[in-house]
Amino acid sequence: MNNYELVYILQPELEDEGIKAVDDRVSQAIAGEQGTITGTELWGKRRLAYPIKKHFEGYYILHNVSMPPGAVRNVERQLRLSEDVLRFLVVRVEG
Amino acid sequence: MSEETQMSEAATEEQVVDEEPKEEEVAAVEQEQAGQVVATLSEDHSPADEGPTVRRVEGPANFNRSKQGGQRRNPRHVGNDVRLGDINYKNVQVLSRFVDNYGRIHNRRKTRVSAKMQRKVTRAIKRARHLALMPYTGEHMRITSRRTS
Repeated sequence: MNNYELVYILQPELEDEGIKAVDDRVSQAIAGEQGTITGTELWGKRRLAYPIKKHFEGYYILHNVSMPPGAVRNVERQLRLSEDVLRFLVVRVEG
Repeated sequence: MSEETQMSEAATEEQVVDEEPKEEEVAAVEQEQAGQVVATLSEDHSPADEGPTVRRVEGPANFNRSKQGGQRRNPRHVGNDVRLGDINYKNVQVLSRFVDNYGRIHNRRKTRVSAKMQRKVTRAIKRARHLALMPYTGEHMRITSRRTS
């Protein structure tokens, strides 16, 4: 098990329901790989430093995740499938 | 070529020597007044003797000047008070001190931080750019600022 930080940006026009739907899918992908979410930070709607897919704002979500190394690939795949996800970043945290 | 170099060498030696005689003249006048022989004095300070002595003085003086110049060019140590643990792609406030107005990452000569820290800063900035927390180019800033108004 490694510790990771998972940040992703959702398109801003998404309603609370839509945000929840995407987040549930991500959480399920993590859970399906025997991973656990140890913490969550909602940064909320932020102005982007540059437009992504013609959006000037984005909804940022950060998860602290503990999961086996092989799980990263599947979680990233799940994020890539959703068109509401503008960007994502998975980094390993030491300690 | 060789003639030219010889010429220039001669010229510099002349210049170097030129500075000394002024003092000599003053001294000579003083010593003349004191009633001593001037001719022997001028013979002692032949160009061959004079050159090396003056050059030895010039060395350290130039060295000091260039050192001060270097300090003036880089008066600010950008990352002096930043701790390694604070460098993080989420900490945009700290990272923005390591880029210029166009969003370009400062080199180490400018930031004056250790190689270890510079590596961490660079990586963190690149991650922050990916997440649109920091701009890639000045063009990005122009676009977003126009949008704000």
